[in-house]
Amino acid sequence: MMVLRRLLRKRWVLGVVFGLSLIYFLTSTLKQEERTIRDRTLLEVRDSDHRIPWKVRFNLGNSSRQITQCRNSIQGKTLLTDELGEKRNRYSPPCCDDNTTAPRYWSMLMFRCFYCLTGYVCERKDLLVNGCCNVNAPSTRQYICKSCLANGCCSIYEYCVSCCLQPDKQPLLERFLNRAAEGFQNLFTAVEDHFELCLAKCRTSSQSVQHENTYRNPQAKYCYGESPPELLPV
Amino acid sequence: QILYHCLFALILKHCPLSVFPEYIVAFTGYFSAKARSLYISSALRSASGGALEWHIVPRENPASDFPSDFELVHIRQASPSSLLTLEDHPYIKRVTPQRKVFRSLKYIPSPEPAAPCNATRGTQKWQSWQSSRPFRRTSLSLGSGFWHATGRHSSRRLLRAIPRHVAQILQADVLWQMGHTGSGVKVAVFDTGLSEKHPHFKNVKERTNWTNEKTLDDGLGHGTFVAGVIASMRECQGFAPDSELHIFRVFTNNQVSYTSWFLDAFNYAILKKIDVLNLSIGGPDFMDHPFVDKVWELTANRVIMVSAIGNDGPLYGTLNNPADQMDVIGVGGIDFEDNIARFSSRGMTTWELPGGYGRVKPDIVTYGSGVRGSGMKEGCRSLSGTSVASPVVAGAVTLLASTVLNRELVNPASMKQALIASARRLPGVNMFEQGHGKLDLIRAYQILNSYRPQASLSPSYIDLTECPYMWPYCSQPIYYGGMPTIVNVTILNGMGVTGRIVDKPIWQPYLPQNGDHIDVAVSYSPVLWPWAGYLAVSISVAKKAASWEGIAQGHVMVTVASPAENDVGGELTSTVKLPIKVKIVPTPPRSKRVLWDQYHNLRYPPGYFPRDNLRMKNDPLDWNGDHIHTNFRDMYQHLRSMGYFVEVLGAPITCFDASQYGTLLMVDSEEEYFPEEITKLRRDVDNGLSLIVFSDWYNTSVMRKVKFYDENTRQWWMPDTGGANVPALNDLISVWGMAFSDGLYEGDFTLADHDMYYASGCSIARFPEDGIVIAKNLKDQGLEVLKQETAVVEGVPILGLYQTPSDGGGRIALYGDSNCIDDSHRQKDCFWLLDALLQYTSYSMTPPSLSHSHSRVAPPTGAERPLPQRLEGNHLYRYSKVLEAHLGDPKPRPLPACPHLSWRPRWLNHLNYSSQRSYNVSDFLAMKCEAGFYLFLSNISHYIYAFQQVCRRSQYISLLCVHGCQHFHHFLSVRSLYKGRTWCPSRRATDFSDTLKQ
Repeated sequence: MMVLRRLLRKRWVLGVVFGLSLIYFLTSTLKQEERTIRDRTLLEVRDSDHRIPWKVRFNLGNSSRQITQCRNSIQGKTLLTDELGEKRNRYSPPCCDDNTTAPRYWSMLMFRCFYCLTGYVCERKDLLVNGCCNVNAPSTRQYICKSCLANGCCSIYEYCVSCCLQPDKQPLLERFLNRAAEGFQNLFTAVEDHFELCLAKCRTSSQSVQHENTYRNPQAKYCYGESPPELLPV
Repeated sequence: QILYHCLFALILKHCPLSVFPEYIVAFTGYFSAKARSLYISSALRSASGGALEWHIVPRENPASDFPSDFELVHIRQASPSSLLTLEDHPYIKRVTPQRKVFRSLKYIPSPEPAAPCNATRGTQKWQSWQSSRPFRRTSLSLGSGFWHATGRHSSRRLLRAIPRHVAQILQADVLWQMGHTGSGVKVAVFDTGLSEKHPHFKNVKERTNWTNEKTLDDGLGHGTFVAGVIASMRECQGFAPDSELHIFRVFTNNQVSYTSWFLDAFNYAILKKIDVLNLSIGGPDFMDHPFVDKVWELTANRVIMVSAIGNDGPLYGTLNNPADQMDVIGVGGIDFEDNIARFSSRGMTTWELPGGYGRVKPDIVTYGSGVRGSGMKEGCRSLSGTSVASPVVAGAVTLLASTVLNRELVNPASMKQALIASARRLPGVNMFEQGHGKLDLIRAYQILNSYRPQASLSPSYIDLTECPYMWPYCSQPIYYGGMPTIVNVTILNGMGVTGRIVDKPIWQPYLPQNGDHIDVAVSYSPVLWPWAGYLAVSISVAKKAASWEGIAQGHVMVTVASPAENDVGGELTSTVKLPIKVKIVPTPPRSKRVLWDQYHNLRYPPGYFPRDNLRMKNDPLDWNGDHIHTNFRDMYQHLRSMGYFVEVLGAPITCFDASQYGTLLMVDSEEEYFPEEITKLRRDVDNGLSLIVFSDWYNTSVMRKVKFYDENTRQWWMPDTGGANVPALNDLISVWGMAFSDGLYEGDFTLADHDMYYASGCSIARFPEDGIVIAKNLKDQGLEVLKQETAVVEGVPILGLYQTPSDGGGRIALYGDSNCIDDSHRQKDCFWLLDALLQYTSYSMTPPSLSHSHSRVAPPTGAERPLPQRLEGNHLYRYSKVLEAHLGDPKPRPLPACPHLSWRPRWLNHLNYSSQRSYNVSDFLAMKCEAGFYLFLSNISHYIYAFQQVCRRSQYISLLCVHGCQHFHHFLSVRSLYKGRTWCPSRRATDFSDTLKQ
């Protein structure tokens, strides 16, 4: 004990302690600076062998986001794809057959269920105030793949998104995210969930064109699948 | 336009077919011109014993007086080994082949134009054919990598007081003092990047790179400058220092960018929910459907897009895409004395040609000349170009957006409405130069903060008598029997991304103001998406005013509806009034009426239609629309000043009444002809119509030679015609025993005491023996292009005059070159010749200067040389309105029906409207309540009556899409879901929205 106390009183020991603290202080500040830089340039090109940290969450049910509001595809002339179906009382009839694979989530607190959560296409006039489709409107459809070809390319953007939101497309999308998306890191690392992924995936992109200024296939150019649109001659 | 393309060079990798290679020799340091020359000669002497033929290409700019680190060397038959020896020299860093490149950051010298680079015509070589297809997106600042080197701005501009900060001139400090600094608004800058720790920026949210260069930094300074104008917080202050900056690097240091990069970057901007996007980059290719579609998608996702209108002024018809789109805010440039900058591109849009008429663009103008902004690493610098004007508006838009409490109200349409309604009109400048006028930030702030969702029109009124603002409409009164005057109005819809026009627009003539003397037909977008659509108004004089002179007035009422966001199934509606005022004169005599054939001129096509002057290598495409109000504007002005009335034929030759016109003018036609057109024209000429043809070159060997590899589309481009489509023209004129040759001639000469320049034209191969033919000695340019040999050909027939033999038959005049009446590359005009030819064709007066010219020769018989044939395998049918693909050769399509306008049924208003003040676009909303209330009181009974009348009428006849948007329907793939709804708008009688600007 005495030895230790004497040792601590030695000037060089104190110097070492001070020096170490200084080094720790400097490194930690520098590291912090480095971190801010990385934040700013978050999406710089990464090494190709670097695994991309996908953030996509396919299960919407346990997301903490408020689900009283729907997101929709905003841009359309007359059609919209709704992320969430209408809120329903548990006693109201379900909006789709029980034998579909659509996910069902129960919210115990609210005694409400959210059926058939995604993939509604409706006319703009049937949009509710909360941004959701009115599922009771006659023209509202769910998971509609109209105009979509076998290669996963559709001629109408909203139908592409709706089709892409089908639960059975999830493995396809996961495969795409892991392999094909290397050229699209900027975009798809920023995508947060299934809905955003489908909105982004269905848009025309560098994969949609030939000779830069011509569509590969002007008819079916919105693709949720892995392959680019079929190449048609100019 | 010609001036600045060649002011810098760029190195391209793909140059497989060099004819006369020039090389950029880069040195290890800065040396004087003498020293550089010494080094090169010593290096080359050792290369091949001095046998090499070379010289240094002089650079005649102020920078040449200063030490430089490169030299341009012209070497004949350079072998790889000699280049290697050149590189061995201790002071020579590297040798790269030189390519003149067009995708440039454009540089404009000071107000007095410097000697054009092509002033030394004789020494030009043909080496740049293989370079990149020029007309693609360019970065629209003036200046280049050589900004700092040239010092060209040192002429008059620097003697003035130090330029003030543009944000302060536009009174941004007023808004700053109110606490608005752009916070919470996401701005995307699509440009050349931004370096990481630039001291001017405090809120760079992220930087992304979409190019093939692995850097995020700005190597040119262009992107930094643009970002600085928007958001710099110190020194040269930007508009919105607290805005969230998102830097998108889409343009490389080599000034390359591809559509595909843009597509991906735009997708990311949509995902990131960008509010304002600045694009100081543009190109003329509005036929790039993937790009145009993507811009629509972007604005449909509520991104306010601001873009530079282009630096191709003062030529008209030079608007750049995407600034020319209805949903984008297109910005032109002015200087600090409120003059339109010379470089700023002028309207009209050429999308709508030939059947329709162009839209008014730019939308607004603002300072773009000598503006100060952030330097690449630090400090400030000043720069010019519409590249600069665009971020001024983008910065202002960002600042404005941050002042609005309810951000829901801010969308691409409402922002554009506020900007154009508040803009200050510049005196003495027409709408194709200034759009709605000069940006006024404070007034825009006032309007935006009292904004309620509504529709508005651009232009908001049609006054064909208002000069010079309504040029060209004000330059020629209308008369009975003339081609309908089309005004292409843009409908902006701030109520929602999609909308529709309810029922049909109503034409309401003012009886006391002679409104019944005109007929009005309207066609419009079936769906207004995104945020905008067109309303094409065709105006004709009624038969009863055939010999009447005076002013007629009335208005068109349009009601726009959009689905309401917060009311299921509900709609927002907005009614706008378009006042119309025209001047009518009695129908002029036939001899004074000239018809311009627009139908056979191709507007900017996605194919390769080479320029008419082969010397103009920096501008190989013919892209200005060839319209009397674009690149034939000077010719039009001249004809008007000579008292001719010029009308435009936007339909086949079968669609006009030839007995009305003295002369049909066909200039530089690229299109083919329907067989019916050929027969009809022959009949018309027999009956007294005269014909003037200005042809251009067509030589298949030269066409093969001028193919080039396009860096942008990554494919070879082979021309689909020559300067004009001579084989097709020959089909048209062969009935009179006339034909043009495939010769290609060039040179200066004198004709009737006028200096003339023949720039890449053809000759007359065959002409009737009783005709007058003028021949001149010219250089064989074909030989020069193909074999680099110079030869003078004696007695080339270039001009022919012929009186057809039938009784009362018309006259025909042919000339082999159109460059002397075209504004694009004109060196010497020949309007006097056009006058002389019109004297001949319209009044049968043979100019003695031509008929007794000593250059008159015997008409050629065309026996010695075969006539030109169409280039085998050309793809003209892809762009042609006449041809369609067929097994074997393309065949003509069936002749389309002539346009038929359905005139709006009239409802006559007996109220005197003479109390109307001049409609000025001054107060958008300020006067709204007052004027609306007044009109409500005075007119409500009449409006209700009007609506009832309209509702009672049966269906209007089908609409004809005179507006060119029909061409785009196929990719709009619009299907209106609003068919068949009946709506009687009488309940809306009180709903006067914006344009009550009386």
